[in-house]
Amino acid sequence: MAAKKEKSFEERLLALEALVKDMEAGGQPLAETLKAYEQGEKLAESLKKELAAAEERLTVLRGEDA
Amino acid sequence: MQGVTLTVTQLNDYVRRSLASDPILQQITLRGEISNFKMYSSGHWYFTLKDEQSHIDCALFRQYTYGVRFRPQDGMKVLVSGSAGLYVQGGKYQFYADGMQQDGMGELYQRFLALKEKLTREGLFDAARKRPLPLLPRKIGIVTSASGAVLHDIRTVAGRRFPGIPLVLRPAQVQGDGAARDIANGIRQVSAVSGVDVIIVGRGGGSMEDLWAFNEEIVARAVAACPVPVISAVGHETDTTLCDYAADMRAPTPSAAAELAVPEREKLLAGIEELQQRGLRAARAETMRSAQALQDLLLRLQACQPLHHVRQMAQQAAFLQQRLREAGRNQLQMLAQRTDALCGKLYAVGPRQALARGYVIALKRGLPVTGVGQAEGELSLLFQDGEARVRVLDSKEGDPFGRKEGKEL
Repeated sequence: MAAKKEKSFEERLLALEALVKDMEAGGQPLAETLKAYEQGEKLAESLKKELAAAEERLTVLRGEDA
Repeated sequence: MQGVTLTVTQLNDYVRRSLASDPILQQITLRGEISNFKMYSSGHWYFTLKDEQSHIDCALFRQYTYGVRFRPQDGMKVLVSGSAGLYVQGGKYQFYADGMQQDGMGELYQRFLALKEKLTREGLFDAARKRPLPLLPRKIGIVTSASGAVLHDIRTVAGRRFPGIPLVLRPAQVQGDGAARDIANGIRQVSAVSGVDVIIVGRGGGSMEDLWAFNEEIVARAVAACPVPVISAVGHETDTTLCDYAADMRAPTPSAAAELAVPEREKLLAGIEELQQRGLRAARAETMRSAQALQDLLLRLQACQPLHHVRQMAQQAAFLQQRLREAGRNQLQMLAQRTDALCGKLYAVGPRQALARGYVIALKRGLPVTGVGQAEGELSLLFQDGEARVRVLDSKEGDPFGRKEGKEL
């Protein structure tokens, strides 16, 4: 199960999508748009960081009776 | 000679149709032993099925051979499904098979069907139970043989789609005694690893017995009870095990399972970058809108300046003054014209004209004399160029021009 508080990749991606759609719809005060933009950039960077390439990590569990 | 006369073909065709019209003969499972098995280059199989007393020729056409999961051999005991019919050209009665399984597997197969029925009734395979796979799993659990091609295929595909995605392997015995228990334990164990949010359970192709562990109840239950979604990739596409039914997603091959579990990194990145661009555009647009609004307000503010107001008033005043002047001038002109016209008229009706033409105005004590009755005593006569005092000698009423009254001139 996912750890509490920490949002999954999907949740953050959906949040970013919703944010951008709201911004595109317009109508919010400028200050809020800029705040949303800042927040969106943070989300995007965190998502991209998660996608950053790394070396393959294969963990092998020992087969023991549970 | 008695009865109807037929050609050979007519007879054979008649018998073929008689057989074909019997519903029992259309759906039979035949039990027997294979002999004289032949595989033709056309892909069709021909063989004889026999028991202690009888035998029957059988044909299994190519399209059905793909469904047979073993290589038939003479002497094998089998169950063959199909229909009995007549081969018209040869006048031979034979069996047209459309499926074949090894006899003795029958019992195992019955167990499979019974268990499937039971678990279906329990709702273990309900579509509503199926969970969506995570878009980007933090770790992917794998339960399969440590040595088989399955692990290799999954690693290859996962590494290509998303280099560096963490894989957690729980090696499991995938066939033989204890395999089912090991697989079920493996699923439980790997699902407990922190970060694992999707699991691939897999095994390469094999005979029904080889795959049997994946048809055991404990495996199906372990898959169904797994707290994270399970992708099942057992055997070939044509084999469906209870593990496949219980899984959230079924993949035809281990590579396909990896494709389902692992997203393409580049696609995700491109999607995020597109969102970033859109966000930037939206923020810019909003900023520009605000700047434009500010500009508009500034213009309106300028329009409200007092100096501007005064200037406008002065302009208005000058304009009014101009109009006033013009109006005055027009009025004067009109009055002058009217005066001129009146003077002309006055002149026309005045006495001077008459005097010039020879008329004389008679005055008595300063008042005009308009009738002969007034003409007595002294009168003054006005001429165009002077005045004369005269005395009336005589007067007589009547038309001075000697015409009777009432006659028109």
